[in-house]
Amino acid sequence: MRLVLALILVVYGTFSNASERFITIASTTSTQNSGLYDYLLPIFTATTGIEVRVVAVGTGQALKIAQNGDADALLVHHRPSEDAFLAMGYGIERRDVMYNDFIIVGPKADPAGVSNQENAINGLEAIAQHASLFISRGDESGTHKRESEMWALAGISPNGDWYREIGAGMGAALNMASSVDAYTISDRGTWLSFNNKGTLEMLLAGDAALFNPYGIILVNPQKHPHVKIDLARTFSDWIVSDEAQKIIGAFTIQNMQLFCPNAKSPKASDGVCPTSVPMQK
Amino acid sequence: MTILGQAAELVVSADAELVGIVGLSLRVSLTATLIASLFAIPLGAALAIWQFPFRQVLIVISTSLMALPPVVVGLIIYLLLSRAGPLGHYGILFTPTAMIIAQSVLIFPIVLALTREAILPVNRDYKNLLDAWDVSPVQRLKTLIWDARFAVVTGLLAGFGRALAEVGAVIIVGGNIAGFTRVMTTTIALETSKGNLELALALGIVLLSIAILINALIHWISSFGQKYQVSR
Amino acid sequence: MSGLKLTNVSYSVDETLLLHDINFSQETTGINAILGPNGAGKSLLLSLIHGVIKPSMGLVTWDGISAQKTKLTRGFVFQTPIVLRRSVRANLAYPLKLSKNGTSTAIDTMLELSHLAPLADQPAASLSGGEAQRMAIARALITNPKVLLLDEPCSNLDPASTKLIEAMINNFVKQGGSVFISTHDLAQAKRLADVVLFIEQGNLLEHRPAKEFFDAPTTQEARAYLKGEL
Repeated sequence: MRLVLALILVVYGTFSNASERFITIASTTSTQNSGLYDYLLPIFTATTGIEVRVVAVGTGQALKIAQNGDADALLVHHRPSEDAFLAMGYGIERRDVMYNDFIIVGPKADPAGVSNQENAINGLEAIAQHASLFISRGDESGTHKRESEMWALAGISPNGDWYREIGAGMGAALNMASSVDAYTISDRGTWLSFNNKGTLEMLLAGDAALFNPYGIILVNPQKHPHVKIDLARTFSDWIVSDEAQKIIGAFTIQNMQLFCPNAKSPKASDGVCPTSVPMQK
Repeated sequence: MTILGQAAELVVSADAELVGIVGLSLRVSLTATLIASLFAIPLGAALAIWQFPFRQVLIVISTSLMALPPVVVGLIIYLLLSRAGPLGHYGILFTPTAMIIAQSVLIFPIVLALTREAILPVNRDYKNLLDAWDVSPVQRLKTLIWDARFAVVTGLLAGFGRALAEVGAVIIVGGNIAGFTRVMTTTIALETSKGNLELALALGIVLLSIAILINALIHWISSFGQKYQVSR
Repeated sequence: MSGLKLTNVSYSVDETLLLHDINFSQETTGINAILGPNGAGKSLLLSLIHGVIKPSMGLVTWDGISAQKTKLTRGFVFQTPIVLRRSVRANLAYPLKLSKNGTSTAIDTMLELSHLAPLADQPAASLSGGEAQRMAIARALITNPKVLLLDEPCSNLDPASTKLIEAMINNFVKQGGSVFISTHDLAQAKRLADVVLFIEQGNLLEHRPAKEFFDAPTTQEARAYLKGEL
């Protein structure tokens, strides 16, 4: 093994260690699939000369990567997990960055009548009642964890033929929902940037319970001395700066804003970003 | 626009990002093939030539390893290279180096088995002659590998094709980082998950074209090699 | 002590005794034909004389030295020619590269001698049976061995090919080499042999000048064999 490593390092050393000024961020597929990073990160790199390498996985796996010290920072969206991560001492300096919200999407025909429901809990109840097909991520991602919490709040433990756990990312879940006319829960960003909607439509949104905040956490250098804490902190400082927050707010797809910056005021109800929540019923 | 048209346009436009992705794919898989071959070819030949303790066990293990799903290989390499793992201090998780290691491990048993199969008939033909000449083990290895080279290269290309086509291992150990560890297959997976099915398919066609090229090469090489084989 | 000497040589595989207590000595001159029915042990005896295999019991020596230690000074030609998957020229070059003594002019000389010069750059696999056997003999001779061992080199070959091969053998002997050849072809044995070794069921029954053997075989088995009854 060592011989192989040495060999590879000799042959390819130049390109694997091309830039020492880089950080690795473990993040979620929802932010990556939305295209936010492609839009945001080049600006940061141009300003600071620091390259940002994003490994986009489910929140559960992202937490694991950071916990193992394989990333310098973490940008995810599941507050309870984040708090546990901080409490265990793996992470430090959590800051709010932005939010969007979760939405319930489903076939245009809406057999369960989700679009007529008051709130998300009622929407899920309707789906369960009608035993309409529902696609669950089933991958311990932030979205999946939130979905499970919602079912728990509705007092339903979903099972049966209509409830399908696919163990895959948001895009895969949307692709499947689109091809079998099923309901699913998505974050708004992925939904807006998703290009294979088919007959799917956003049926329910705007419930405060579906608030989806993203936070940045630095990996604790006391746990992992090799992490690039200074560079990671530079990134953290930048992403909550006025400049970056403005850029995040300006990121749109088809004239729809995807993320609402909230480093200054972390509550959804503060009205920082009303355009993100247009479908209050 | 048709998907084929889109694929053609992707190739013709030689979009810098696509060129980078294809280039990285080829570089990673080619290097992995060379590294795997460095070990697999002599060992495969040795398995064909000599009887030694645990030879059968080795053959069974190496043949079984061919069935290993890339994602399992990726996971093993991931656990080894993670900072929490035994080789963590090298800091090479989520780099092309990690992808090369994973693919080397993945295709090692393929190149090994195909080399062994390539050498077996040549060794059967040559054995008495080489024995009579008292050919040394190293010289014997060199002679048999050289004279079976067309079949050996075929195995090597099969390994390369497998490396180029797999997604499970590289996405785990490479992390699919844009502009750094993103290769053809992980791009296809990503674009599919974004619902960009046509773009994904167009990329798939580009990958397929490369595969066709490789297979044509295999075919050409082995038909060239047939001339030198005794039909008797 | 000069020449070949076998002392109490036996060879067995598992429990089966294939060659039984063979004793003889032979000056290294001329052509020695090993005769005997199928399965008598002719190929085995040739391999032991060459040194490529080791007797289960007993000693095979050349000039007092164990045959295995000096096997590279003897050439071996197999019944079915072994063809390296290379050009004819590269087949001849291979043993030269191994022994590191010899020149490329030796290759050209051998190509002429074996009438293969026009085919030198063809893949050896494309040669006919006779051509391939001539190449195998040329390849065995190219390192200037003192002794050449041939295991039924002309079985399956037409008379013209056989004639060319016999010419090569005679030429080698004329230049001072000595030959051990096993054959089924009695006419060939009569044409070539100076001495005959007759074996049957792993026993050496006769070892005499060829003329004596063919004119007056002493054993029952040899008489039967020459009459085609064995």
